[in-house]
Parts: sequence; C-alpha cells; structure tokens
Amino acid sequence: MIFKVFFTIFFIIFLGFCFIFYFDFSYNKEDKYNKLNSMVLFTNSFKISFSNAYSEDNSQLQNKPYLFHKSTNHMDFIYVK
Amino acid sequence: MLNKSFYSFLFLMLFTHRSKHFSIFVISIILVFILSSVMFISTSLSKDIQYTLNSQPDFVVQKMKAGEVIDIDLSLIEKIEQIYGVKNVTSRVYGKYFFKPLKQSFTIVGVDFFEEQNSKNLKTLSKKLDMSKFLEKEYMIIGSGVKKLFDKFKYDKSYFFTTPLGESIEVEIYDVLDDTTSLLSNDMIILPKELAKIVLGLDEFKASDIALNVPNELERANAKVEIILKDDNLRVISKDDMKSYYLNLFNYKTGLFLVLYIVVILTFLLILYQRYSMINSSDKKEIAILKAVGWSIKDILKLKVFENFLVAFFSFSIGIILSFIYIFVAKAPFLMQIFLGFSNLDFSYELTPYIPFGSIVTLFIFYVVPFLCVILIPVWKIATVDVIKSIK
Repeated sequence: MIFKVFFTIFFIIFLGFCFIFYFDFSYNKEDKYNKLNSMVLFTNSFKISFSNAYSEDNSQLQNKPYLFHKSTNHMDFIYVK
Repeated sequence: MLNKSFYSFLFLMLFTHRSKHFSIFVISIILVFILSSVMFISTSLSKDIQYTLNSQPDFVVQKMKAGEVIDIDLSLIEKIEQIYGVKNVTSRVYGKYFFKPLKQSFTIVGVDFFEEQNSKNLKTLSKKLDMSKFLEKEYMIIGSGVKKLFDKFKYDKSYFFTTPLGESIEVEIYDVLDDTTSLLSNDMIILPKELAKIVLGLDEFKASDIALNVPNELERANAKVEIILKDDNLRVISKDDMKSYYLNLFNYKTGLFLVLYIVVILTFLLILYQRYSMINSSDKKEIAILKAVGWSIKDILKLKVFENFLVAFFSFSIGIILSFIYIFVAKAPFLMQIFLGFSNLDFSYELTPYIPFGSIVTLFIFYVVPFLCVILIPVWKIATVDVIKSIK
C-alpha cells in the first residue's frame, strides 16, 4: 500500500516532466523567431513594449564617450584623423 | 544496507511522519515555485531578445541637443553612405502617440511598404495580406494591445489621428499582429512612412533617427568614429550596447528576486534547523531503539538523509512542474506584468518555452544540499548520545 502511494507520486512527477519536455519539444520555436525577426527587420527597430510608467527605452542609453569606447581604441581615432 | 527491507522501512517512516513533513513540503514547493518561475520567465525573455536582436541594425545614429534626442536631417544619409563599409542606410520614423481616452501612448512606426524587403517581411507577419489591395490606399497594421483598446472604444474599422497641426486623419485598420510578436508589437501602430511623419509632426526632410549596417565586424569601430565625425552632437548606439542593455535589465530583475530568495531560504533553513534541534522525546526514542537493535550512527544518518532527500526531491520536482505550467501554459499572470510593466496596454505575450538545465541543476544543488545539512547536524548530535540516556 505504502509502496503504491510513493510510486504513484513518482509516476505523477515523471508524467509532469514528460509534459514539460513534450511541450518544449512540440512548440514551434522556429516560426516564432522568424516572426520576431521579421518584425524587427520590418520596423527596423527593437523596442520592447514596456509600460508607459517606465522611461526605460533605447533613448535612455547613456551617451558613452564615443572615441574611446571599448570597441574603439586610441589608434583607430588617430587613423581616422 | 540498501536492500528492499530498508526501502520498506524508509517509506514506512515517511508515511508515519507525513504530518511532520507536510508543512516543510508545502513551504518548499512554494519557494521552488517562485524562484523557478522567475528563472523560467527571465531566461525565456532573454532568449527571445538574444535571437531577435541580431536582426537589429548594427548602428543607430541619433541627433542630440541639450541631452535630448531630436529629429535628424535626411541629408546626413548621403554623408554616411560615403563611409567605406557602410550598407543599408535607412531613416527611421517612430514616436509616441497619445491616446486621450485612456491617457496612454501608442508607438507609431513608419515603414516604407514599397521596399521589396519590407513587403517580404510583412508577408511573414500577416497571413491574410493581399499586397495589391494593401497598397491601394493608406492602411495601418496594429498590435494586439492596440486592437483591444480600439475595440473597447469602438474603433472597429478605422481610427482618427489628430496631427500636431490640429488636423484629423482617418486611417483604416488592415490587419492585427498576433500574440507571438506582441513582445515588440503590443502597443505598435505601423503606418506608411509619409503618413507617420504627418501624424508625428515630423518635417518632410527629417527622420527620428538613422539606422545602418556595417557587415564587416572589423570595420565597425572605425565606421562608428567616422560617423561621429560627420556632424556635431551625434550619438551612435551599437547593437552590442542594446544587447547588453536589455540583458542587464532582465538580469537586474532576476537578481532582485534572487536576493529575496536568498533571504527567504536562509529563514527557512533557520526554522528547519530549530525544528530539528528541538526533536521531541518520541524522535529521540526512535533513534535510540534503532541503535539498540544494532543500527550504527552511519545507518541512522543514511536513513534520515534518504527520508529528507525524498521530501526535498518531491517538493523540488512538483515546484518546477507547477512553475512551468504557470509560466508557459497559463502565460504567467502577475509575474509577466512585473517583468514587462503593468500600467501599459493589456499585455498578452506567448512566452517561448525554454528549459534552462544548468540553472535547474544549480538550483537543485543549492536547495537540496543546505536542506540536508541543516537536518543532518541535529540528527547526528542525537544519534551520538548514549542509548540509555535517550530512552530515559
């Protein structure tokens, strides 16, 4: 009897994990990423629809010191000049 | 030792002590559920962003004035096009449109529908698209959040935009973007570029900003510097900046939950430790009897480890399964609003299921190991006490 109860719990957990893997496997991720990518390419912008109360969007990015930003070094600047 | 009778005894112990384990079991499920829900939602959103951000233009050029972004001159496009290695320089037109009845804003995006690439992308997004009909006159495509709001205020077929000059323009709705893209398009209204300029009050020869690509990665740093030197007060935002910005935002929110979780788990462990330190006489007797019938301290500890491991394992598994169902099947009510804002238009986004194995294993280790340690120390203390003393 006790064994039965515990094996039922084990079985339910096993079924739960099977459901997780099945759900993950059967979801059409490719189609979704295609759509999201087309959306970005189409509107040429990437802005997550945050709430209006949020002022966090792209324009809030800090104005970094351009010339010596991590992807630019001093030599690049001299070269351009 | 680990034979059938040991397991029968183990399950029997668990069964007889079920009321003792029940509260720990429920609290554990709640703890694991909350943390794994946050983990699922943040990894799913981060993955979506990671995959999507790659389609974003490499650089966005904005004109600044007194720390604010202002409209940029279209003549700059020609100047930028001359830079070696720069491709696909396009102007972008977008902005917020205030919706008076609800005191909320939509995002208006202007798109050049006549461009071949754009019409291809539009076909992927809109299944019922008939391009020749669509281009006959000026239509708009709206996000699902906007649609809900329009329906509420009975703008079923068209909406009247008021321009900054006070004119009223009626634009018909052509199609609604579905929930799969609502992460980006929920509050979006896509209009033809020229019409968007009129609605947003943009000058004919101006744009919100300029987007461009630099296909060769090695040329990006140089191209960036050259763009900046083209005009005063230009701000160049690279794709990498955007990537780190958005990922940091979600990491920050996950981090906040993690700190709260650490506080809660420490409190939980403290309670657990106290509970086991004050083991009552029947528990002491039980351990003493086991010792009296020939069990060694090691065997008793093994029994207790297995007993509590099963409780931890059951609660952990059930917590993970419940949180997966809550996030991906029930679409994470409440929690989604914490991650994506709550005073905005009604939001329904289909999260992409993603199982972060690494994080789940880490969570399991960080949850089960302290759980067992906290229980083992008091049990070991009792198990080492003299049998006669314990029975007395």
